[in-house]
Amino acid sequence: MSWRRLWNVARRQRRDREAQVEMADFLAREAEARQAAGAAKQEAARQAAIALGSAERWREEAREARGMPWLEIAGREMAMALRGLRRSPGLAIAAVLMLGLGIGATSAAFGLVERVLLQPLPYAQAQNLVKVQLTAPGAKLDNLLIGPADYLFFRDHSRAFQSLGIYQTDAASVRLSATPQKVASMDLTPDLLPTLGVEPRLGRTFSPADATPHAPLVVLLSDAFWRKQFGGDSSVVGRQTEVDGKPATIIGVMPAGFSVLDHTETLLYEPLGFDPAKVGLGNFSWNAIGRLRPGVTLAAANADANRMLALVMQTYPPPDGYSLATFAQARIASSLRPLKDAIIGSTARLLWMVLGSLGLVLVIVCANTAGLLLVRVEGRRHELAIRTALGASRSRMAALLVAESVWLGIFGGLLGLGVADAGLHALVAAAPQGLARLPEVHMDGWAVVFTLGLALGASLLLAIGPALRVERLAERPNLREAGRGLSASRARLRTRNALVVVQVALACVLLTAVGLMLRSAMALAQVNPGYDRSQPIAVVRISIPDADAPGARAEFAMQRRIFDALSALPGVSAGLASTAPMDGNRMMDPVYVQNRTPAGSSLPAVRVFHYISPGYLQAMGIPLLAGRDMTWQDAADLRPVAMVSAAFAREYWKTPAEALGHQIRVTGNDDWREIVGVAGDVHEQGLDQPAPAEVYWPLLAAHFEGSALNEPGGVIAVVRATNAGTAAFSAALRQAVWSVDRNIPLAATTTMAHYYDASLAQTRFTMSVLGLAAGMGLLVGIIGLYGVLAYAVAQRRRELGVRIALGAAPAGLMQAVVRQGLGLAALGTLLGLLAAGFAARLLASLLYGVLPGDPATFAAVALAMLAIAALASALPARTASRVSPLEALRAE
Amino acid sequence: MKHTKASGDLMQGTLDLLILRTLALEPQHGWAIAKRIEQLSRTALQVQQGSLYPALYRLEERGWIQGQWKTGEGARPTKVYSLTVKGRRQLAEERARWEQISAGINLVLGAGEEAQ
Repeated sequence: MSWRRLWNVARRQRRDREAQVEMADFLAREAEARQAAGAAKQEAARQAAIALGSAERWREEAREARGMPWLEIAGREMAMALRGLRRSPGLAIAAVLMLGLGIGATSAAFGLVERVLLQPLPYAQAQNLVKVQLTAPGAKLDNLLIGPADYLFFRDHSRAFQSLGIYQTDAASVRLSATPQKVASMDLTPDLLPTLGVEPRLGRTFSPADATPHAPLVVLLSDAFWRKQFGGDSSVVGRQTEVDGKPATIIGVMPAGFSVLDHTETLLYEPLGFDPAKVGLGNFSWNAIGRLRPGVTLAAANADANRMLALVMQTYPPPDGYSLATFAQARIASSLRPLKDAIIGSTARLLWMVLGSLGLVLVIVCANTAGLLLVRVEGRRHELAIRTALGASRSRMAALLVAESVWLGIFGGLLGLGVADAGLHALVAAAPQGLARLPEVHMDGWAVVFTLGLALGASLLLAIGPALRVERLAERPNLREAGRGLSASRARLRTRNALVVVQVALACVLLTAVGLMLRSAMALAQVNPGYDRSQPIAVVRISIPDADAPGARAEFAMQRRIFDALSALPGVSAGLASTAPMDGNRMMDPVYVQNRTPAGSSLPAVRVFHYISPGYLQAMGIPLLAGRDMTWQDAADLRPVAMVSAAFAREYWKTPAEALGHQIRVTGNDDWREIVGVAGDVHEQGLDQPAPAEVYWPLLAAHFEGSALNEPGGVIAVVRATNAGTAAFSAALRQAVWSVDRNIPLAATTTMAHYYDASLAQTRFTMSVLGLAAGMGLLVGIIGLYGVLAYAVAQRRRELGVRIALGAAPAGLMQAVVRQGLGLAALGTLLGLLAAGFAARLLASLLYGVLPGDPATFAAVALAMLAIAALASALPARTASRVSPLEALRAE
Repeated sequence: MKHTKASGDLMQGTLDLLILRTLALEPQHGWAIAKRIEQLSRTALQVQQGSLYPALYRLEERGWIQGQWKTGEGARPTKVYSLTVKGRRQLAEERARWEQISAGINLVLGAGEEAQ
């Protein structure tokens, strides 16, 4: 291949040489002939040259006549363009850097959008997968998960579903060495993996028999767990291990990269089954994924599900303490969603925002580079005019300028690839936790194609301006005038001014968005979470093995001993609870208040539940507004007591104190429980969500939600201490727990600060991305403004010199330049604020405590833009006022 | 068949035809071809030098004519073009086509006169 090319090049050079000789031969013969006809020798040579015509055009046409391949023509233009760019390295480097950053940033954002939003889920025929969920408008509940009864009935009687499986994340204690190891696990019905269309890489998946009540325990390993714990040993299938204190057999290993939706943390899968004889209505706590039969629409599937939901009510009994009427009042209905939508959820808006803001930076960069290239064409008027006079065609010169842009695009694109890769990693690292599908994000083929396409598109866009300018220059090639414009003509500057206005306007949009996010972050930081953040609070989940504490009483007793052990640590305040605020877990059910029957046949509102030990509120620093805290005696004696949050109290009574003494309960068969204390409100679901009405129950209670003796089981311990969160403290905490029972597996200790930060993460992420985009856009836009002014001043050097010589005040000249700069900036800012008004509405769902049209933000942005523009104008203005008349005139 | 498109172009095709016809008489160098065409057409046809050489290169590229460098005549090297076998066939074809076209044009022009 390369030999052939070499030969082609050699052949072309030889032919060019030959053509040269032939041309000389022609000239000589023509001159001789004319001389023979009587012309003087010199005159004959001149006439011969005229007869031959433009040498350059002649060469061109001769080459083209030989059928020079277009690739070769393009190659020659490209080579020439590269030489041209090397003559002005400053411009080339600036343009490539800007384009590289702009293209890279946009491509990184595209990488995110493409992988998270556009790529199908990694399951076979993923378009047929749906998330099965319910709504219960009667209980004001959206996005309700499904219950075991719904699952069993749907599985056996569905017309729309090909198959259906449910799962729940869990934590399992696996004993591979002396101490048990707590790993993230998942309980799933045997039909879930076939529904997703997944085969194991080793062994088999669960069979229906594995999920029957007394079947021996079998488990599946994730690929990651298998590699880490078993070194990728294939003989692991069939091996015995111990899970949650029970012997278990490993029956298979899942393929690499497999996860159920976003649960990449899952290391162990356990079979899940239900005994139909013991299943009742309710217990809507199971995630369900269904595969629709081919051709079944979502509407048809919803109709089928609603048909079955009515039959479920007739087939299964309500749980103890609940009546069938309660379920009828909840008005449960199916609300299927395509699985992908269900996963992506609100992530979509965030990612489009990221792509949009970084895309705006690219537009600003392109406008700026276009301005630079236009200046370059102006500067080359002389050169271009000469080439036109020598017979170069307009299209050739336009092609040359396009080739220059393409080079900038190529280098910018290559740099952009690097920037995109780094940027994508940075985005993924900075992204808030729980952003859908993030673990699978990386630069793939599509992102690379997008980057290069963007580079090409940008370079062609950039070429338009200069190419059009060349057409106009070529129309009146005026050698004398070229390069010596007296004062920059208005028409010539108009395009550049427009480009600057665009840059300022877009930078203004980004700046406004940042301003709004900044205000949101500030508003969020002002929100009192409801617990005391002045000292760190360690949070650790404690799961007491059933074998070590059989029954609710024994479990409660052990919890008390753990509480005592933790409280004995020096300088701490400890408590136990079912969940921690903002940790993403919450339990909820409707709560009845005595003598306050809800109107009509509706259910009372659903409340967030907490089961707490005495001391929990104190350890968290949640204030006690009225009454008293729970006591260990309350729980031990099974006294019917409860606490509520201030929001709950206010909903029924005027003040927290008035709530004391009133009775509440969950189901019709429960004991009524007296409200003995009212706690302060806590932003349970994140700082940006209002504090819900909450109910606090004792750890041990009789006749609660239909069960004779209720115990929440797994609890978290919260421990306030000045050194909470340090490794030493975590170790001390572990020792304290293990002093009670060596077999308690402990997950990693975290802190309340972690949940607090996670709650702010989305706002901070949005703000950082917008901040970065606005910073880049502003910098580039201001450089663009500066460039236009500096160029205008340089062009008018002579005129300014003359004016100064004639006695113009330097201050007046300065003012004129600044006025021009501020004029452009003001127009850009005005247009930018108008655009920002629309853009802010798209941002509305990400804002907190600030309106999208916040006047303070808009005013601040306008002032900032004008101030920065004034600064950018100051330097060229100073130059203008210091033009020395003598120098300016001599320079010509 | 590859180059039938070029011969459909009347102007270019005409110059090609003239060159082939000139070279059919005897091998010539570029300047002489131009002069010969002018002579033969009694200076009615002025050959633009700008288009003569491209045409020569095009015909050479297609293999209808063949150029050979001669250094015998004085010190100046000269490229002399001659018709190839392929070129001779092409000339016959072009000529037939030209006659067909001109006959057609004559017919149209003649018919116009008769109608008047």
